[in-house]
Amino acid sequence: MPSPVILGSPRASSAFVLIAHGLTRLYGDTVAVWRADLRTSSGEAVAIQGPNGSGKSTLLRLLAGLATPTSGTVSWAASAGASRPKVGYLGHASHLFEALTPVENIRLAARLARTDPDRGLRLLEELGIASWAGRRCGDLSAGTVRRVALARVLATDPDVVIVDEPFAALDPTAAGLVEATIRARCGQRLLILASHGDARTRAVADRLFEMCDGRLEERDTWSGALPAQTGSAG
Amino acid sequence: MNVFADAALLAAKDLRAELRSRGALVAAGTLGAVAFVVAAMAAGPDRAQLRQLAPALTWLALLYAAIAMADRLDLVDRRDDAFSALWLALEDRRAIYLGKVLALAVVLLVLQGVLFGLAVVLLDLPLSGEALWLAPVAVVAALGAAATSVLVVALAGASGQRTLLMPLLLLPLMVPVLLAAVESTGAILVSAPAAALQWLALSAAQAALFAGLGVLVYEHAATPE
Amino acid sequence: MSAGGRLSRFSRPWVGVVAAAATACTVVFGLFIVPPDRLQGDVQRIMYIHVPSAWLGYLGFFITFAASAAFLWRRDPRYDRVAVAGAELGLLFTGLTIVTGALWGKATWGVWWDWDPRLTTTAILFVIYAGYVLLRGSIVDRWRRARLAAVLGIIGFADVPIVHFSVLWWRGLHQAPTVIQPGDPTISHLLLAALLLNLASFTLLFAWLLVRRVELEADRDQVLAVIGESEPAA
Repeated sequence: MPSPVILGSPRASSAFVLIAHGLTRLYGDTVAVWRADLRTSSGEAVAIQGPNGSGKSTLLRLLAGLATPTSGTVSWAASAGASRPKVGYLGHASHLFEALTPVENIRLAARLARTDPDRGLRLLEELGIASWAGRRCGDLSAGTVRRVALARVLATDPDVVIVDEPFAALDPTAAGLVEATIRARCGQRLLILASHGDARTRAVADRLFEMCDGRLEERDTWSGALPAQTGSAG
Repeated sequence: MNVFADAALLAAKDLRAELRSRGALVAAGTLGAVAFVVAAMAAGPDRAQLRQLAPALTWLALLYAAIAMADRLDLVDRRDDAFSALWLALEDRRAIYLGKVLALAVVLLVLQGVLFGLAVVLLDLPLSGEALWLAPVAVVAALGAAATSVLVVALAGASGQRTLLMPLLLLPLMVPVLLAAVESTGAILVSAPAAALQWLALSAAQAALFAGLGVLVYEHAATPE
Repeated sequence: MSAGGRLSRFSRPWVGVVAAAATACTVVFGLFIVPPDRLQGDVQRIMYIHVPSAWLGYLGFFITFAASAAFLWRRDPRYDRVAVAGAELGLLFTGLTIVTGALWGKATWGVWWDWDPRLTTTAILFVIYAGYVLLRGSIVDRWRRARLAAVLGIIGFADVPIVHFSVLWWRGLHQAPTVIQPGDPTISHLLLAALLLNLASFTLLFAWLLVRRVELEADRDQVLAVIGESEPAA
């Protein structure tokens, strides 16, 4: 496993606190997220686990600012000097331009984010995909695209990293590289990961939440089974 | 100005994607050419009449190809939800609109060149030195068409009826650009470029209006949900 | 009712009865009491419907334009309800304008349609706002519908002056326009009175319909909110 190069973050000193309060998102009369509360800050890694369709992805989009809550609020408190956090988001899609190569995608993202493109490109080596760097993203395999997508997110040096299913579509070796990269790169950032219950996501996280039928609840330990509806909900 | 630098970056990205997408531009040019030939056939074989109709045929064919290209350029960002990443990355999201307008205007200029060349050859149009006046007409028409289309595609693309609503919403809004382009081209072809000036002003007004509106309201139109 | 007390007082049925009765009276006045026009004869009576319809069509679209801008600014759903009401009534009255204009054209010029600049601009406006209603119909999410419709409500109306000049110049190039002269001294005082009375009664009817339509939309939102407020299925 290559030793990860530490990305010097120019804004590493600015810490952010995320306060989500009563977040609710309805699609028509379908409930995706129901009165979710979450408070976390830079340096913390949060895992949200739950079955398919439990509302994890909608919650992540709400937190990232890519969806508007039906009710409730997402607010950010920042240490002095910072205003709004830069959010890096990786959902089910890759968010890559398929006609461009991994290198071009990362260069573009870095230039738009005013970060050094070369440091972002080193992530490709770290994630074991440097040999694919010159191909169109549209021609790459799902596992490779997933890693390029993560490299693009981290290349923008975000304060907040939100990843939906970080280890999906990856073989054990690739998953190990991704885990190592996340551990090495996201120590000071605010990290939120969602998955339907794999051990790797839990291993990375400091705090564990479970989601079922749109409700979010914090757990001390992973029950190993999907949670039954409890009286404390809501 | 960061917003213009970002817009240029994004436009370069769109153009690079188009150039690399294995013949999308060629397909759009061919589509325009086919539309032109079919429209000319529908108008009948009379040479003199066709020559008179040349501006209308050319610009209609271009409008047809423009709708297809506006749709395609929007899909560059929509595929694999690349748009969400742009939305979060940009400090000033107006760069997304401006970049797209710039890229589409460049593509439309290329298509105009192809179609006008086709019209000159097929309809045996007389070309004098005054034909140079067609250059500003083409540039302003491309900007007006692009500024309007990018805004409309953002609306139609977010609806459930993308392919139907896009031309439906776009065509009536494009009436001034189309009339201005047809009339000024006609005036230039009969060596009366002075008559093209007021049309050039009208087309420029549409480009300025929609660019201004786009800068103001694009973020509302493109907010992801 | 969220539509507010002042509005609902205006929407009481008797206001509608008064508006309808006033419209009926002025139509009778225009059809039977006012003498026929010296030059055009009975055909001129179409103007008593045509002119108020045209004014109200533009008023409706202007209301949509203003309410759309207000909606984007304030994000208050009440403005969206006003916008949709304005667009639908605008369509109704521009539709009437186009039909009556075509009837008048057939009787006067011998053709249904002669690319009269004002009528053509009105027809283009009709198509733009028909698109507005269709766009609304194709979007399920309430907020997204309001947001996108507001953008179209603004750009559709803002384009009117440019569309009008384009049609005017285009028409001027091909054939001298034959338009009705508004300041025609041959219009007698009685004719002018009939026109103004029709304008007033049509406008009253328009205002009543507008308020009713806004209330209907408010009721619909309330029903949807009641459905949405239910707890998620366990």
